[in-house]
Amino acid sequence: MQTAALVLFAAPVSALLLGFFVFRRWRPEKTHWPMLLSCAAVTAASLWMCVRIHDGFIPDNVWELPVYRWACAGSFVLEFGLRVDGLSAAVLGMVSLVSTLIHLYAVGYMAEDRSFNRFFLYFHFFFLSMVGLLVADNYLQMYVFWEGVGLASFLLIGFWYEKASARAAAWKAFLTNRIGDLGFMLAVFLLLSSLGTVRFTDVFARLGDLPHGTLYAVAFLLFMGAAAKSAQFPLHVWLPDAMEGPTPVSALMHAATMVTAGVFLMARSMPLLREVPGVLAMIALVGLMTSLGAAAVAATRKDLKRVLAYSTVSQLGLMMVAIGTGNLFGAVFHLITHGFFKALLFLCAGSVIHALHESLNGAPTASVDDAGGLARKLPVTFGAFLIGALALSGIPPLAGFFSKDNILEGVHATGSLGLYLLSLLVAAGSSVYIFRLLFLAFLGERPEQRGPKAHAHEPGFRMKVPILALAVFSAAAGTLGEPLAKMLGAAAPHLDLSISFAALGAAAAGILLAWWAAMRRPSFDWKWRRAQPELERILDDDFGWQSFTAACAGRVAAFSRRLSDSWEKRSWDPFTESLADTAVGLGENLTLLSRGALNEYLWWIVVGASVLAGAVTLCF
Amino acid sequence: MNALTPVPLSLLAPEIAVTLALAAALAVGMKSRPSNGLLARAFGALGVLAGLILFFWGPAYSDTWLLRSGGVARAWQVFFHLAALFFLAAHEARGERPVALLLGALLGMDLLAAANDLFALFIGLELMSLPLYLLVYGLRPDKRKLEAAVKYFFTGGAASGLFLFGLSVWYAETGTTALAPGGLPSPGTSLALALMGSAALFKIGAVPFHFWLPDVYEASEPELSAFMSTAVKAAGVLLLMLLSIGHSSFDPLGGSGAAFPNLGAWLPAVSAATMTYGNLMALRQRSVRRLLAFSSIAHAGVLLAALWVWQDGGHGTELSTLWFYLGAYLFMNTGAFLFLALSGISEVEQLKGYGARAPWPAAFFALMLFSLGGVPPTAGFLAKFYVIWDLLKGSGAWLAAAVALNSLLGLGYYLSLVRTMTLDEPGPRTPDGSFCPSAAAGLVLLLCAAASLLGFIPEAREWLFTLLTL
Amino acid sequence: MLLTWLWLAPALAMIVVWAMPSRGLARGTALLFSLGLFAYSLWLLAPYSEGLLHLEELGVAGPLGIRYRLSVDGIALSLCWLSALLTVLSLAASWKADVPNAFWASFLGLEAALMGVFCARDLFYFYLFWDIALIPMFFIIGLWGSSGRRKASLKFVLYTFLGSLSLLIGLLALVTLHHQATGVWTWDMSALEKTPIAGRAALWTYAALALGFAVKIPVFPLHNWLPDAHTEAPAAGSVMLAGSMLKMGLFGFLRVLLPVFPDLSAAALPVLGGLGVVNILYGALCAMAQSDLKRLVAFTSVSHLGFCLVGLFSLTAAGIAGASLQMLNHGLSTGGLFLLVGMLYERAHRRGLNDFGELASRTPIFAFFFAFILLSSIGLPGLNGFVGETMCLAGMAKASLPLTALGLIGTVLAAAYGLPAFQAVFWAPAGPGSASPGLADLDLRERLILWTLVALILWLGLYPRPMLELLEPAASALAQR
Repeated sequence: MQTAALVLFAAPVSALLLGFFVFRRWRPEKTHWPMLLSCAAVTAASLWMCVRIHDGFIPDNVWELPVYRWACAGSFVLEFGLRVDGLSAAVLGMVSLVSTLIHLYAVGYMAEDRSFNRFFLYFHFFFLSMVGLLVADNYLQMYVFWEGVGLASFLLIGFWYEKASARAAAWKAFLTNRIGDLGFMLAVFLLLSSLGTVRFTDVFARLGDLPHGTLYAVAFLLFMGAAAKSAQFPLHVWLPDAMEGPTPVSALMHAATMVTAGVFLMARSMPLLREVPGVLAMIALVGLMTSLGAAAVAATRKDLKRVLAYSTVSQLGLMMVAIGTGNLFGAVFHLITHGFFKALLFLCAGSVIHALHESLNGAPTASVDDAGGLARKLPVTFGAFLIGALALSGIPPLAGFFSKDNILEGVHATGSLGLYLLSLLVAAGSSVYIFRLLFLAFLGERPEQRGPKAHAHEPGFRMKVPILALAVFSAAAGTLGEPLAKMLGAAAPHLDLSISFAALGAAAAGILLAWWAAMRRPSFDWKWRRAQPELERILDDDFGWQSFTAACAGRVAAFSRRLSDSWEKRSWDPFTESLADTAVGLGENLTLLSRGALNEYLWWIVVGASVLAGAVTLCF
Repeated sequence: MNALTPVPLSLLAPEIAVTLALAAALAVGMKSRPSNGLLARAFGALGVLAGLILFFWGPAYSDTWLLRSGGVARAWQVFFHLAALFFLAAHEARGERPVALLLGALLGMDLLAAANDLFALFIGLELMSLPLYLLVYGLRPDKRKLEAAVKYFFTGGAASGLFLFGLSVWYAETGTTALAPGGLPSPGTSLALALMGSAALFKIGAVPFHFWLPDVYEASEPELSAFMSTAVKAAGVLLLMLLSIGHSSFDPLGGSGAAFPNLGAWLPAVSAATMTYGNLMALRQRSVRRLLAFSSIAHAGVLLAALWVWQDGGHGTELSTLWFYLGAYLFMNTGAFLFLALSGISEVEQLKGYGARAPWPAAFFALMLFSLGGVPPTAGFLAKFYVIWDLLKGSGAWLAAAVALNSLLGLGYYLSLVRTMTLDEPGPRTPDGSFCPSAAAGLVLLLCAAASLLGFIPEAREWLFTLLTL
Repeated sequence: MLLTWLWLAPALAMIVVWAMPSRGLARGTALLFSLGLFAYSLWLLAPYSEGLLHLEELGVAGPLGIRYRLSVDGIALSLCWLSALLTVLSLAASWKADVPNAFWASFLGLEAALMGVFCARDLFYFYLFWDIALIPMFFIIGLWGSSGRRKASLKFVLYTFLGSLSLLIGLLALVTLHHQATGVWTWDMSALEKTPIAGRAALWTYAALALGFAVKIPVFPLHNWLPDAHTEAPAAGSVMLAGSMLKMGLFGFLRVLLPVFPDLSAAALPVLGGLGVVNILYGALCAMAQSDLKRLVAFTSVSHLGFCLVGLFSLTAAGIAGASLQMLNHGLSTGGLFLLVGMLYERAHRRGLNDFGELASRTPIFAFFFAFILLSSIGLPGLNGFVGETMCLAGMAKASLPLTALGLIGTVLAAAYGLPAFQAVFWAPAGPGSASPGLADLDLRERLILWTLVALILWLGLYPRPMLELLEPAASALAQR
């Protein structure tokens, strides 16, 4: 295990150093080789670790290795260490596998981009931070890589920095994440001041002596951090704009790995969350609200990647519902399967965009208006997209069905009918928007879809292999249920027929609705948009939440300008400088005492002497 | 000790030396026209030096009804003689008249220091003031010098009149003219002392009596202003001190059972007013000499504060604070005025960019200004440091704050002078930087610079105190 | 005599360099000397760890109780290193400036005064060096600053002198009250520790001393000399001003106020800790609204020192060690930022945010260094800024949670002022009148300077333990909670 852990860090770091110092100067176009090798090494190491943990070679599935003492001051000691248990090994396996495939895909996708080297440096820095985040053994170390991931998303969203929208999206993503990190850091400080340590094992062991108020606060603050990273309701505004980045970035970070870090944090602090059922209920509610809202918006967007982005927000909401209902296994299982099929969907969207490259003149994303009837021209992409869509909507043999079904069972087990019905609605919603996208993009060209598609062609070999691989994984991931349960030490999943049928029914209903809307009445999408522009504007503005957050940011900026200009520059600074002028002014008036005439001098002397004499004798 | 016992001549050794020098200087003048100024100055310097040596090495403490020798009051002579030496070194005018006048004034000051009787005090005061009126008039009179001399003469006369009036009231009240009878202070004596005190305040340049000072300092030769702002101010402080302590048996360590407490009640008020007035007025001056005049008024305020602390606290060592302040002020003010004399600068405009033209003299003047402003490594800071400390020891906390605030005001104009000199480009009226002091003047400049860098040694005050009370 | 050489050597070197015949010679000797002094200060770690530097006295205590005493603890030694290093870097950075010998001499003079302040153990000499440091800075800003230097230099000195006067009165009152309480005249810091002074007098003395130090840090209402001083000072001057001069105020709190008035400092948590938080937020908010790069960096240093104040007044070992570490971090990252802005100004003679654009593509090396040091300045984990801020706030978490939460908002605002500035200068397209075309990238000398800073930032960020072990004993001695 020691060597595997070493490889986890050594490979990406050496690849980065090689890339920065060697390849940047001599072979910028070959930078992807060290990166791919390091990805492969990390994947091998993490899969090996999964096998070791799954076969029970590690005592009670937790392997810890304190690396070095980072800082010690007074009562508390901060150490860096590694911790690999069932949870982190499984997620690490998925993350490394998906990253390797997307690295391969990116080689093809970014082949003709002039800053190829810079892209892979940022991309691999993200990979290093993600790996570091998953194997951290305490909250502070997790926070360090947490912000590393945030920085990587800033750099990658703003990769094509010439465009103002990319710059704004990058800054918005980093700032929203920083707001979430504020909560995360406050939780860390709470733990440090009350327990003196932030190591998972110690914190979970000594949960008893934390006062209930602090426990409640820590749980809520941790969720605040997770909400920012996993784009949950209040802080999800950054994810749709994050589509400004290149598609491999959207695929890897904003679908499969980075956004799941929030869910991973919640899963990691499950023992703590179980102590505060109130927060769990709140998490479930927020998750549900997010997924419902996101599903609604996703079903009406025209932009390919935006639909997938909102779909990710919706699925993450579902995972948070699983966490909220205490179903750790369901959340992690869905996290893994979602990683596969959402990455697949993004890669297919990427190859669609790549195919329509000329007509989009460099725009990072394509709209439904440009696509339409691509099935004939891009058969492989269509097939893969179909598999992904089926997996997402939860049709049986594919992965989505098993993980989503498990979540629904968890929700049903809690007994609240409303929650169960709404979760079913979310399941239906997810099939609606994905199949609407499928029909609009690939089947039957509509009059409104006049974009030039003659030159559309299948992507190169290097992009097709990852798509096919992911298609296979999306299909086969369902079988991972038992081994994952064994690794997590959770009960083996069993299919409750009634709930599976209900879920299947909901999915089928969703597909039918999508077919009716997109195929039977081909231009229904454009028609209702023209009929209710008001509804379109609200949905585009994410129920008014995007403009609200922009207004808040604007108000803070205005306050800072007012503070710096009207207070600092125009009242406080001049005031302090005016003190000197008042002194000089006083000097001016003092000259009025006498104009230099001799008799005034004499007058003053006599007055002075008499006042003095009077004072002395009178007050004697 | 009644009025008739004869006064032994040995008491007057320093004064005799100065008189001989005066006679020699006048003799030089009679011999040939135009008289050899250098020779006259040499004789003068010799006499002053002799006086200085006789002070240290002179007769033990003894006092008669009229005069006394030794004792703390005589220590002031060191300052007077040093100031006179600096004047003689810097003054290059032809002719022996200024030397003779200076020695006359010096004689008056020595008498003041040696006086044990109010009459002797008055004689000393007058003998000091009259030659100064003529000195201000100077050899090459112009309208401004004439106006200043006349103003100085009339206001000086008024002050002397007040002193005499006070003297007569004192005599009417106590029946003797000895410096202080044993009796309890009464309204009469306090009135007398107040009147005499206002004459002293006039000499120091305290606020209500200061109006003559800027015009005189601006008009007279810079080295004379230096002499007046240091020696005459010291004489004023001495006069005020003698009046306030009152009794003659003045033990060498300067312990003072202040026989006259409420003379001191108004002193902090006057000191604060003087300080603030001097600094505020100096802020807006366009002429460097006038600025230094107001700065000397400000420093006079601090001196009064130091005097008040000594008189109020009754501790022996506070006198050393007064002396150290006087000593530091002597060196830094002489240095500043000497720079003006040698560089021929009188307007702030002329200072613009002077640093570029003559870096080392500019550096010297900057050091003097820093010292006057009380910026740490300098003796000026140490002097201010001791005054504030003693004020805080006693009950004068608010006065300490006033001194601190005033030193900030002071730094305002001192630093703006330094800024004009170093930061700006040389203007049309900036002199060409010819700064060639004579050997003696150069020596004085070096002495001033060295003294100003005394700030590193906190015990400087103790050393000076032991030196002066040998 | 080891510590005396630390300040005496640069003072003598100042005179020698000033009197040098040729400018090249003066520049060379100044740089070589500062390198030598930096090595010497590093070498001092050996005798320090053997405890030789705890007290160094000369002469005998006169009746005033003043005596030439020097001593160094972990925090003081680290600050000496910082000053020595920043002098080397700032002299190297202004290698190409055509300036007279006095320029190099005043930096050595400034270094001498700073070393004096950090090593002084006697309050008199502490105050002496405290004020002496003003003079070289006055000339550095005044003579070699940019357009508004005349006003800025005088404003800087007068404003700071006001603080020094309040400090002088505070010190004198402290010594006098101590004498009244114990009958002993002493200016020795360790003798004055836990002084029995109490009541209103102690409060007034504490207020005077705190005001004196607060002007220097600077604390919120008394800070408006800083932006002018920084914008007008030459790059090297800003580095020294931000890098080490601002630490004199904090060092004053640490060395004088906390040990002498432990209970008052504990009671002052809401006031001074609160002001620290106000500093953080105010500095960050003002930095967000600046359009001049140098003013922006000046306000960031107001924000960073707010963290130090918060850490200091948490009175926990972590907080105080964090504050001392944050002092070093601020010296490195803000010093680095000023060097970078100086290099930019040297090339384009402009500092506006919108005067440049797409520098990332024109000058990639400059972009890399600027991004790296800016990230360290806004507290990205893994770099040194984060370590300092975390420990300050972790320390404060023990003392008061609301202040910690408010302080944390400062880190969010840090991103709000850091990244838009970076984007405007490096990512946004060059406007019509921008100075970007034709900007040369960094040459070897500049890269060398910046690589040392980057290395130190990384070392302190990833493995701060050795430095913390140096700061630890001094910090836990002051800690109360």
